[in-house]
Amino acid sequence: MTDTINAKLPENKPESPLQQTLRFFGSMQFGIFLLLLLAVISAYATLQEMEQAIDYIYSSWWYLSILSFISLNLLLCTVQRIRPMFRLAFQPSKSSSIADIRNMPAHSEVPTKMHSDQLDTAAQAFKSVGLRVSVEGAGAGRIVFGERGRLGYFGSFVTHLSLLVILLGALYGVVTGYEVTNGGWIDSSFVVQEGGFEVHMTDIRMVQEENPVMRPRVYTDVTVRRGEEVIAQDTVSINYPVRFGGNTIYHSTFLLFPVFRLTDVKTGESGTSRFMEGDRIYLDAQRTTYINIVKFYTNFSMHPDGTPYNIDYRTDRPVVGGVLMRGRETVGNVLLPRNKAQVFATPDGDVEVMLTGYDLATVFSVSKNLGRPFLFGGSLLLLLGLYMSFFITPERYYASKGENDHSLLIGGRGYRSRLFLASTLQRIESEIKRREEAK
Amino acid sequence: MASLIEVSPALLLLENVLFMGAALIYLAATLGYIIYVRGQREWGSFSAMVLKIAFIIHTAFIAVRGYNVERLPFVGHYEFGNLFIWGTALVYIWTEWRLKEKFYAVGAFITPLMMFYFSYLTIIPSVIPAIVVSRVHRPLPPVLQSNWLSVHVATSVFGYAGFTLAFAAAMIWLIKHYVPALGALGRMFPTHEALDEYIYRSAGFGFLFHTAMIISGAIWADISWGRYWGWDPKEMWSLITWFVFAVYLHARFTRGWTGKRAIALIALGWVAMLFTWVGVAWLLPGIHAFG
Repeated sequence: MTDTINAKLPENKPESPLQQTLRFFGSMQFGIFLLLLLAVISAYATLQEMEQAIDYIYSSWWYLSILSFISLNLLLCTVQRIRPMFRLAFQPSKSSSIADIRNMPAHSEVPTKMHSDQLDTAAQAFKSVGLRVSVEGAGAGRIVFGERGRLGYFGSFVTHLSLLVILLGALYGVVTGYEVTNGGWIDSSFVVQEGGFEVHMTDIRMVQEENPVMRPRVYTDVTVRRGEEVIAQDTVSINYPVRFGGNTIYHSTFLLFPVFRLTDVKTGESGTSRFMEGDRIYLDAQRTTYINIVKFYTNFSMHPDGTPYNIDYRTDRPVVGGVLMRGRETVGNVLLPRNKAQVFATPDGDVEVMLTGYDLATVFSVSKNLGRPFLFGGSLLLLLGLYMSFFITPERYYASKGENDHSLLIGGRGYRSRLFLASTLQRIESEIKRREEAK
Repeated sequence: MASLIEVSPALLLLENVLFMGAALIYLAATLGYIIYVRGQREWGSFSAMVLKIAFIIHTAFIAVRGYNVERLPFVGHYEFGNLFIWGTALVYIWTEWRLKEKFYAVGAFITPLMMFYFSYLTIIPSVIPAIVVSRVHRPLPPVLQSNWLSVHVATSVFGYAGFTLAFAAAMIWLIKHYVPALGALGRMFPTHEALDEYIYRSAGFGFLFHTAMIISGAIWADISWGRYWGWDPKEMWSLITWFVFAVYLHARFTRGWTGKRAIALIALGWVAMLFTWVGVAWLLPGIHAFG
């Protein structure tokens, strides 16, 4: 995004079509248009289902194209700014006439005694308010020049550069990285094809919070192997991922799987399986009679109206709530507490169903993002750039003898902001008066 | 599952008294500033003093609330809302202290906005049943037990405060522009140029902290959830707010937009900010539902 500095550059010869194109793509108008467009589209996207918005808007070619154009705009305007910025910061206009000073946004005339070192007094006053001072010109046209906040000129340059680093870091992360979701229970493993390693969960522990109504913390000990070699071994929990070789394993969530033993009452044959909410426990070979598992209550209780609920996250009273179905017909609700067998009639004969316990499983998000250093480096640079833009205000002050040699004319101008010019000028004025009175 | 911390009746009473006390004294400061802009110049510094008293009481409320919930009181609509109002007062008081010209007229617009935010915590939930602002004392869920919480919330508070200050000054600009015969009001309002400068600096201040909020949130999300950006509605609306203020700052600085167009962008940015805070929570559910 270019600024007025560029607009003031003298144009010696007509621009070529390529130059004009580059100027357009790097222009502030184009940048503003893209930002507003992105804002409107993003606002619309938030009204859609999040998954749909991710699939059909945020990942679409045209949304990514807008982001690409913003990157191009940032790149071009960053390059276009370099020379004018340096010129503005390091080649200031240090000469100024009395008329110029009178036209400055903040100016004032300080009566002085008539003596030859008026400008020295002004220079000392400038220094006392923290300005970098030089005396310019000679003879009657001599002026004192003071400035501060030179870094502020580079604020927008650093900001634009940082945004470019962030966007390129994000792109690099997407191109070179991956993200998968997987997990399991104690002593199980899963393979991350994209990373070429296997994750084995040696132990999973659920630790209740002091207040059991709080969701407990789950700690999973993992061993990561590539072939036979162990490449990482650590504990994963929420807010504490495990990182190795650019890959990261994050705790995403945990699940409790109720474990049931089903026994054929007639033959005595039995088997054990783990289920999750939404699963069906089929009770006969034709799968016509089944229990639809609705909810697993780890610490079961019931409201006076008969509605079941979890008291808290403790696992003192596990009960599975479900619906017994026969074909498409709902037979009724069932509650299956731990270690209390219930017998259900099926076309194949009676089946005993008993909740014997539960298994704890962890779900991980496993990802690799090589763009992360660029993203965070760019973020720090962005904050620095914005600080330089809004908190370091370049100011320049000028002092010259007044027309009648009985006064000092002081004036100042600010880059972007004039808010503190008047107060600084007042401090300079007071300092000059104090020094004059001391003479 | 309801999650509660037991608080002694005395401390609960103290918390509520401090909250109501702060709200009432903020209201008194609001009235004082309004009297000031109606031409009573001596009410400016008096209202500023009343505002500082309200701010001290509000600080005491936040401290007591923190003691009662046994953590930093940064979570949920009630705690964040209070912190936001407190931050807005702090930023405005800082500008009054920092600037040679006190701009008390801005106080006549920022304090009603603060009262509007207070109404979201008190009156609005009783009028709109769908909006529930719980005052229940809850412990921090594990996902929020991170040092990044304080960075993320503190930066968002100052970001929102800066934007609110910019919007308050923008309202004065609009009134000055559209109501030619202001009489005493006109004398008490700063010039268009001064207002423009004030708006720009406030928006820049808010923009820096809003950016820091987005970055700290991204870092925290990366540590906690394994990705720095999840396209969650709250994230997206924070970004939309950022876009709008980025457009304003560019347009103001490089194109010299200082008039109605700039004010329109500030107003749009404030609406986007408000929607990010309140609208998203009640209309667009996502993973930021901690309140």
